[in-house]
Amino acid sequence: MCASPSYRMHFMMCAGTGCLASGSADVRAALEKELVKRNLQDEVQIVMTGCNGFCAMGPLVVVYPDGVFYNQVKPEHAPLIVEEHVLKGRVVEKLLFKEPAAKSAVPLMKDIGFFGLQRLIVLRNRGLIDAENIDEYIARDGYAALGKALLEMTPEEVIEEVKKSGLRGRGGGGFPTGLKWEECARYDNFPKYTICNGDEGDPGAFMDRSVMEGDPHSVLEGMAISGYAIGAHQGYIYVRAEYPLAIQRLEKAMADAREYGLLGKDILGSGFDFDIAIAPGAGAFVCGESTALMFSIEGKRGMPRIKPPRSAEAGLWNQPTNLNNVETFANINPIILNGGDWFASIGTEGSKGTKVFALTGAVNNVGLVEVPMGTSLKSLIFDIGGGIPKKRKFKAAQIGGPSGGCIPNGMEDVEIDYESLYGVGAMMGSGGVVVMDDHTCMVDTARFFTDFSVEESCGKCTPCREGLKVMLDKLTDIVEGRGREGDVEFLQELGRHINGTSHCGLGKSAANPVLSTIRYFRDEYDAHIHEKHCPALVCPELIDFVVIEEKCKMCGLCYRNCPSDAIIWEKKQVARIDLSKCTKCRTCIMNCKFGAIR
Amino acid sequence: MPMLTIDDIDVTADEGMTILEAAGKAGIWIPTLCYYPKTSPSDSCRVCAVEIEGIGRPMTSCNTIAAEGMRVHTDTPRVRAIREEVMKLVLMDHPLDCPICPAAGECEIQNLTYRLGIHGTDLPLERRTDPIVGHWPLIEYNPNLCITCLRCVKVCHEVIGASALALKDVGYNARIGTREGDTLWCDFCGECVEACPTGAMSNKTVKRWARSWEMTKTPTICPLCSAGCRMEINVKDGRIFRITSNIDTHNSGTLCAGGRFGYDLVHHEERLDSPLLRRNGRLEPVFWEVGFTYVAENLKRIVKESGPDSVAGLASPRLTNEDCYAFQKFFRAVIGTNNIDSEARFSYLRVQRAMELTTGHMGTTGSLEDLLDTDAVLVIGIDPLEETPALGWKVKLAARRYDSNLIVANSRETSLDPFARMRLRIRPYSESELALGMMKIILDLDLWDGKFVRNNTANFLPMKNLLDKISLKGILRRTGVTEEGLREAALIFAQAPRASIIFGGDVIQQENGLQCVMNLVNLALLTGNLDRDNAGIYPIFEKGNILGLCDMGVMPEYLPGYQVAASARGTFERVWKTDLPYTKGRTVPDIVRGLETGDVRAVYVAGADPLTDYPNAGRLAAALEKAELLVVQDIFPSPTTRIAHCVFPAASFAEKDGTMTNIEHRIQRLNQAIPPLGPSMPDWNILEQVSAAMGSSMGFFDVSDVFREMTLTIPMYKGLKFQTLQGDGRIVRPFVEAGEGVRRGRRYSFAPVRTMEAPEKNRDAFPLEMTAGRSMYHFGSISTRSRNLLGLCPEGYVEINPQDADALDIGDGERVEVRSPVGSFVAPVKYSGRVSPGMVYVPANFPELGVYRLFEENTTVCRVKLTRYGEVDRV
Repeated sequence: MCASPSYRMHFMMCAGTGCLASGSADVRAALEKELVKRNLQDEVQIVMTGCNGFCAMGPLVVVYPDGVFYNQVKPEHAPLIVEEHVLKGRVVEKLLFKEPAAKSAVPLMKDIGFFGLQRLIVLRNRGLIDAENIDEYIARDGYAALGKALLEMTPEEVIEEVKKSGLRGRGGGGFPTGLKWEECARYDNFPKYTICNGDEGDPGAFMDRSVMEGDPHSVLEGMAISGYAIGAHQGYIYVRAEYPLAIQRLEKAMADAREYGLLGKDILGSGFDFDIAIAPGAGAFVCGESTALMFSIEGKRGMPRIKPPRSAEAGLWNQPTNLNNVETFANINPIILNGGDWFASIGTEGSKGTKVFALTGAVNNVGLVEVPMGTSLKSLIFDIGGGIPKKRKFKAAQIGGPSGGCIPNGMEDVEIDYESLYGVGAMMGSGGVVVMDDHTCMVDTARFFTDFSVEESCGKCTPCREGLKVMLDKLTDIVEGRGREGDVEFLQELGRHINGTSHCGLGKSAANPVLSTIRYFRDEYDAHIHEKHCPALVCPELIDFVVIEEKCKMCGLCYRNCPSDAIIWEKKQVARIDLSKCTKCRTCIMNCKFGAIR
Repeated sequence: MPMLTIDDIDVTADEGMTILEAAGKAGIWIPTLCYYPKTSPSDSCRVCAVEIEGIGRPMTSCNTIAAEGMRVHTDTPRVRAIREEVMKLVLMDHPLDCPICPAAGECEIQNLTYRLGIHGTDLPLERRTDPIVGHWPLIEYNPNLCITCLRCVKVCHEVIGASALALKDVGYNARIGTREGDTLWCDFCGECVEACPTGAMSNKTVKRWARSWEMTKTPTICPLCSAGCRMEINVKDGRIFRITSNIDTHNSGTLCAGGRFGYDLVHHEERLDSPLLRRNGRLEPVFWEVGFTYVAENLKRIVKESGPDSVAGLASPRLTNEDCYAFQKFFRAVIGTNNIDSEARFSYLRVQRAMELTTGHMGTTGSLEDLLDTDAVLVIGIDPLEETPALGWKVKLAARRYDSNLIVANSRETSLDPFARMRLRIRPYSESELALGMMKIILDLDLWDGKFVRNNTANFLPMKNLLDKISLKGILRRTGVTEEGLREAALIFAQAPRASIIFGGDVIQQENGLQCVMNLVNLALLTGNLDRDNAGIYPIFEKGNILGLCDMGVMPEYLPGYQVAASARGTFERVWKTDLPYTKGRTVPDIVRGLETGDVRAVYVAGADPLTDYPNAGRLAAALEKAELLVVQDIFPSPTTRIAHCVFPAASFAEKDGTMTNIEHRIQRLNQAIPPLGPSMPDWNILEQVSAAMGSSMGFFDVSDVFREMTLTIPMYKGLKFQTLQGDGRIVRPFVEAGEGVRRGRRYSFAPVRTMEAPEKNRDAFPLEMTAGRSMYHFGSISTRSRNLLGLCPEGYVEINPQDADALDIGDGERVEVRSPVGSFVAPVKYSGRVSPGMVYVPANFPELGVYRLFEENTTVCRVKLTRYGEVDRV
């Protein structure tokens, strides 16, 4: 982790997309300027690392060797940090992280709940290395696994080790990676290809992006090992064009690796040739489906095709092809180095290792977390996520992207692994977790995700193309107050039909948000349909915009915030709403602390 | 062969068969919407779902391969629910505008809804209101009727290879669109219309005039090119409204623009509607009897005065076999002369002569289907998509789907170039040199098929000596290709286990046609590509029944069936009950000379327009004007009818029965779909009536009489029955034994010949080289009477490389005068990168241009100069 031993201190500055967006480049410049000003540039080094994961709190600076964690650092804090921390050795109190529950500042990164409960395998290098420096990756055992595989193991042994580890595809399907490799290795038809699926499309998910940006070599290494195992000499990384930083860092990493002889001809003198090219995708959600993705690389319209033949037999350009996602490849290096048994010792019976989740929504610590399989949802939301903000109540968590399902309040003890999630009507998906509080309308949520699927369906199969559109229209009717008796049953029947008869993964799970919200929040649907009322006060058409007199504390917050002067209020008077002026923007509802508007 | 049960019935499926196909084999119906047998399954509609025991999900039967031991159920409650649900989703926003829908009556949604007993849909959704795409020629797309089954996209891509259509946009908005831009870059084959299960893709030419159930369909064949595709003529009230096709035909129901849309020429208002007789210098309508008497009496008089050899006849490859047979019998038996010939003199007869001397095969040595499985195809001197689209598509498919190595050698860019592994842009006239060059390299590299050559061929040594004498440098100079290019083409061709050669107009119609064909045959012999499956020689000539015309002996050299008088005289004299003429007979050039000297006094033309289709038409016109009697029977007025003394209106292909022979030597039935228009008559009947008027009837009272006589006199027709030729007909290939010693007792023989270089005269005064071919959307000149096809290509044009046009300062679309040493015409210029600098290309389909007037006899290449029309010519 130290590029040069002469530095006595390192600022590990997060350069993930999130922190860059909140201004980490400016902070870096300010810090550098400050160090030069005080002639400390030879004592303290600033390292731009990959995504730290705690994106909500960016920009982030971790100071080593102390391990002190500063968050929400602004350029104007630079003199303070240098003055206090570097020169005087004092921790800057005001930049420390405060646990939302305890309100006390936690100086050390390892003591922060968000980090403390995580187990890093995929994200092992996060915040520790410069993503653009191959030497730092190598210093953290990088390419040791490739060396071991190429020089000490046969391809069969590599596959055996991966099989033993119990690693399952992290892209959502959960197919055992070892079996996939084994099948692909079996076909005697060359050339073969190995593809890294970096087409991360689920809204809110960014774990693959984080790995590609923060630790690109771990992807390259995993791919090279898979290439060796199945007999492929060419790999492709399919990355969305919306991830320019990932593409840039992967390209730099590939160039460096080639220079070091870790890619290209005769890698490490083993006689094994392997190289990788980047195939930029245009951001169609359906291109995350393996066969559609391969068509896209071939330059055709990304549309899922019929299997069989499976890609392992006839994939890219009809040649045997292995396809894994970014996170899966990032798991390979530790498995080869530490052995499959080590990996299998982590996690649950059917799901081994760890899983990276993108924790978003109504949760205090928004960010990227990696936890062992089998961690409970509760622990994920409350211990790592720091609970729900604004003292609101946890209502549900949507897991598995747009076609995942909702897990309601009361079921948060469920362990996160493939089977348990499936059992409660959700799925692992690529690992997006959207936490919803009691101010979330589940019907509206279902509508949101259905809208996403309508937009992203490729349009081939009738049930998905037409059925989702009907569903969306029906849900729109319900949230706009045109719901009728029997609509819920209709949605259930149509949903089951869509899931049952569509061709690809998108269609097969497109109705999940609707089906699972109906399963757990039927009462909300009924309230929308029969009472024409949205219990969460989200759907504007189904809110009365009437002040409940007994609840109103006459504080006037609604009056002060109303943008259209629709609130009639005087001191010590219950507020009233002038419906002729009201634009139903819900500002009053969001500002009322007492729930006095319905 | 997997055994499975479908609905508890045991079914043995073929290897790789889908459940749907297996069910079809067992007679079990599974509903389908997007399934189309001609393409790969798109499995988009999901209506064909079935349940398989042991598999939780319902599976789509159109793409699930039948496997051993499967237990499939096609009619369970769950499956029925899926069908119903899918149909409801389809019906949800599909406008039920059946009364005004072009597909009403043959709509698959309509039929399936009815059959499944679905009574409407309870799914509420507003209907789509996308604008109709109406600006494409001939084809219209209504996105509101579309169920995105992708049949049109797939058939366009997989069968035709035009890839003009594509699925655009995603999700609910996914609709069919053009590949790029707003223009439909397409072959206008209409396959998308035929494939569409609804009215989304419709044929603009039929709209709102006739409903599907009002029309009767008559299966027949398309006469326009020599592929002989089967099609169905749809008739209502004696009028043709459209052409459809049946998938269970040798062409799998695939038609080109000509077949699908060219039908309207039949009802063109210029159709000859009465016999015409020249009186006082003008052609005046007369009754049939008057015309017959006039012609009969004059013919009798001339024969009496100057002998039968003073009468000559010209027939056309547009006629049926029966017409041709009647024509030659009329001349040989009634008039008593062998003076009959046709435009084949300048084209196909060269092929036949060359093939006769070398192989004895008359026409292609394999079927079109065989091309799919050939390993290498040399396409030389032809753009198959222009001359015979059906063959062009097969070659495309071979190259694209079956990885056949395609070598395209042409003086201009062809539509097959994008699919070719090797493209050789050769100089016009140099096809023969290219073949010699390839042979030389193959011999040098010892890649020739020694065993085949030793066992089956004669004259190899002279061939080898010739090749040894030729310098490769000279060949490269004359052909204009690079040594690497030639070498690679030779390697690809020689190393292919099965290779075929396709050649056409450019090779056949040049002055060196005979030698050129010989050298291409030599190349096939050297590499052993004869008598092998999926390998062979495919000489192509555009016009419909060119092979039938030759088979029927419409030439002085041969009696019908390539029989010579010396051996077959007895048969014919017995059947015809008259003596055969002993004189040799005149070919077209001899007829012209005869007319000029006055030895030929009368000419009878059937179906042909020599002044448009024969080279050096200027000299011909002068000669024909000297004829004392010029009789023309045709369906349209033409430059030739205009100078005739008597004109008889003939029936078109849709109005008569008969047979035609395509390039594969497939004899097929042409069926009458409508009664002859006006007073017109089938050509054979006109000839019979003239014979009768001359007092010696040929005995033909029905077209089947003609055919019956053909089975008696032509050995290869022996055993054929007129009625049983329906359907795909019969492939009957004649094999002609060459004369004494020609092939020295071997089956085949090399023909070591060199070609003379094109004379380079007039180079300075006429700086450009002009070749004539055809337009993709036209077939001979007849299709220029089809408004539908004229919509795609309205007039003749001169293709010129923009570089040359720049030098001449001629703008795109400007009218120019094209002048050769012997003639000129005026046409608009079309910029095209397809022709090389120094060359111009003209489609010869348009009679008003009279392109052939620019050529000297025997060729379709000449030197020309271009001047802007109206500009004073300063030479």
